[in-house]
Amino acid sequence: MVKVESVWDKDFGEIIVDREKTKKFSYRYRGSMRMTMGLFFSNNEYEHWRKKVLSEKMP
Amino acid sequence: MFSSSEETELRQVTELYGKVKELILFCEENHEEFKSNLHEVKELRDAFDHLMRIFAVKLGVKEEKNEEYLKINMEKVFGHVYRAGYDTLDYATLILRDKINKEVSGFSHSAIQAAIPTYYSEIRPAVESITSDIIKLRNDKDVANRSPEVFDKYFQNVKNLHKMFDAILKTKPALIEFTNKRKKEQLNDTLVKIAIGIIIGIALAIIGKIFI
Repeated sequence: MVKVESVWDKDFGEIIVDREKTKKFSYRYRGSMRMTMGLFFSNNEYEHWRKKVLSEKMP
Repeated sequence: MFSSSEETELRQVTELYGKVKELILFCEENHEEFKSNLHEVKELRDAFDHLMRIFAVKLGVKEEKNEEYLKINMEKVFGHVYRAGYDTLDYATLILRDKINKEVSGFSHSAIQAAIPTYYSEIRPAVESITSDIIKLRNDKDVANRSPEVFDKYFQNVKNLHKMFDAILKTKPALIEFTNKRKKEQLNDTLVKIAIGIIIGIALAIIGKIFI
């Protein structure tokens, strides 16, 4: 364990999630239903969806 | 525990957080697959971390000699909540653009114009302008700069987009009715043309029989 005093000014890292693993181990997880079902965008997925929506021309 | 200026800043960030939360919930409930965006969660987690650093000093849990420490962390709290806010504004704008697009695509220009008279004059230009504004803003590196007025302007834009989407939903029956009516008219036209063709054909056959 890191000493409490030295922990305060440390930053958290990036959130990296493997959707398949999240779903696979969902039976051991008691948190958000959305996460358990893989209903989230990682950064790359969001950018991909964003480009798709913007490329669709409106009538 | 907090000075009056600190209290003002905490109030501002709390109000800002309330709007960001409203947007996040809207996005989660309105995305076609009900997906949430992990990047916004990360920004709010980081904001919470900096807020806790402030509380740690204020409550004597952490000893801090640097006088700027509280100010720096308060700036960081604002920065992260603003980033989460602008990312969510982007997400909400795209969800609404996508929904509006899906509601009207598949209908002819004349049907849209007849059922939603303001679509080409107001709605579509507004959707395009709000989308491109939020893209520019998101690409701007100073997005974490504090400006409640700018954020409120974009927040209001998303609300306006939502109103436009609701207006389109209300006119959807008229859009379908117009399209069905037009299809019926076209079918009638085709039937009349076929009937005329048959009559002319019969007439020509009779004339042919008489004169040949």
